Amino acid sequence: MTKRTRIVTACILGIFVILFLLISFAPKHSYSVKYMAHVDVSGKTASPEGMSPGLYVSADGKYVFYFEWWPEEGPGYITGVNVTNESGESVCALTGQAVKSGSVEMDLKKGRYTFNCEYLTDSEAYADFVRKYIPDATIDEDPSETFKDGSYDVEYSFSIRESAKNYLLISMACGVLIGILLIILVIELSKKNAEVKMKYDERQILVQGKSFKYSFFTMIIYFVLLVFIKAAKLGLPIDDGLLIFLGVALGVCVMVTISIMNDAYFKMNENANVLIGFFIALSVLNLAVGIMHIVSGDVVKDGMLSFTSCANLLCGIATLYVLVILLIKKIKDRKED
Amino acid sequence: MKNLKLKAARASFDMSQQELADRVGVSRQTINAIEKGDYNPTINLCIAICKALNKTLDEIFWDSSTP
Repeated sequence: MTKRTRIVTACILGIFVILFLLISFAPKHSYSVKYMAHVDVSGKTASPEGMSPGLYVSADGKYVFYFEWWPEEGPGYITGVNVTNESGESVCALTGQAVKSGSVEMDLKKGRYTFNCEYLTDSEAYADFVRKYIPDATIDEDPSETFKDGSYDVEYSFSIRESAKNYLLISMACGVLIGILLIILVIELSKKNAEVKMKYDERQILVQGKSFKYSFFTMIIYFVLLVFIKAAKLGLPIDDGLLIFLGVALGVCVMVTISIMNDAYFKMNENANVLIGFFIALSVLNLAVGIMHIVSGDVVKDGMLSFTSCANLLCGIATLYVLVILLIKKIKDRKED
Repeated sequence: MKNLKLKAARASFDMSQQELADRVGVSRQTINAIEKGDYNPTINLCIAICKALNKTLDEIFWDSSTP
């Protein structure tokens, strides 16, 4: 690669990094309101019959409605929510059949939206609500076991959140492109002597074979354990994607540890400092994004650690681990010298 | 088992491990591992080392304790 090509590659990389950071740190519109309700249910009648909290959306965009309540075991009635705009037109409707409900993504205009809640106390009322406001839906389960007389104190949370789907796709694409460009640059910059090809010698290849073997068996054991845990329905609060990613990260860490400790990680004629600098930058970037997700409370979604929010944090921890192993090896080599 | 013959032959030429490694096309750590007895090189590498040190295979790699 010529000097000019390296500069151009570095500039393109810089553009994608800026784009990635802008998208990751761009504020997303989110509105929410919490509401405490005391509901008395007696003989198929609820008192009060419902409530109508509202939210104001300050900008046009793509949004998703969310509806949650506590305590999780649920009251003896079902809450039907019909969301209307300022003109009184129904925008979407949800029913509290699960602990949390979310709508599909929809285009919303700036303005006030009202969550018109009805407390549905029997199967007939529930079916009427669904027929009236969600005509395309089918009632798969008979909810009659839900309905019970009693007094209930329930905390509701209604929210309208800007959809992050497009942001997520663009930021993921940017992340992949940044990764590819960085690898190209790092390989070019880490050549000590441009005329001599970087390669592994015979001993290093043997050690790598051993490291891949241990990494492979570590992953096999991990995934078999995962299968048993899933079969036993132990209910891990971790997204499936994240569990798979964790297994891969574990395998990579085993491979890297054995390679580094046996001097089989860096090629001959490779400038290790460039690679170490790359790992530091990668670790800092991923940890920053991961911490941002923790601070904004995105890490746990629907009571589960989500892949989309934790992937960067996991990458950051993995690269930090590589740096720690490199440091341990360096200290060990100095002691031997 | 340590390969002291290799170390001695290298020292006689006043050659560092890195210099020998560069001549035979391996890493310094591989030469170190061979001298410490942690790695048994392939025949090709043995021949390359012997040529670099102007010695025979017997002189560097034959284990004199075995018959």
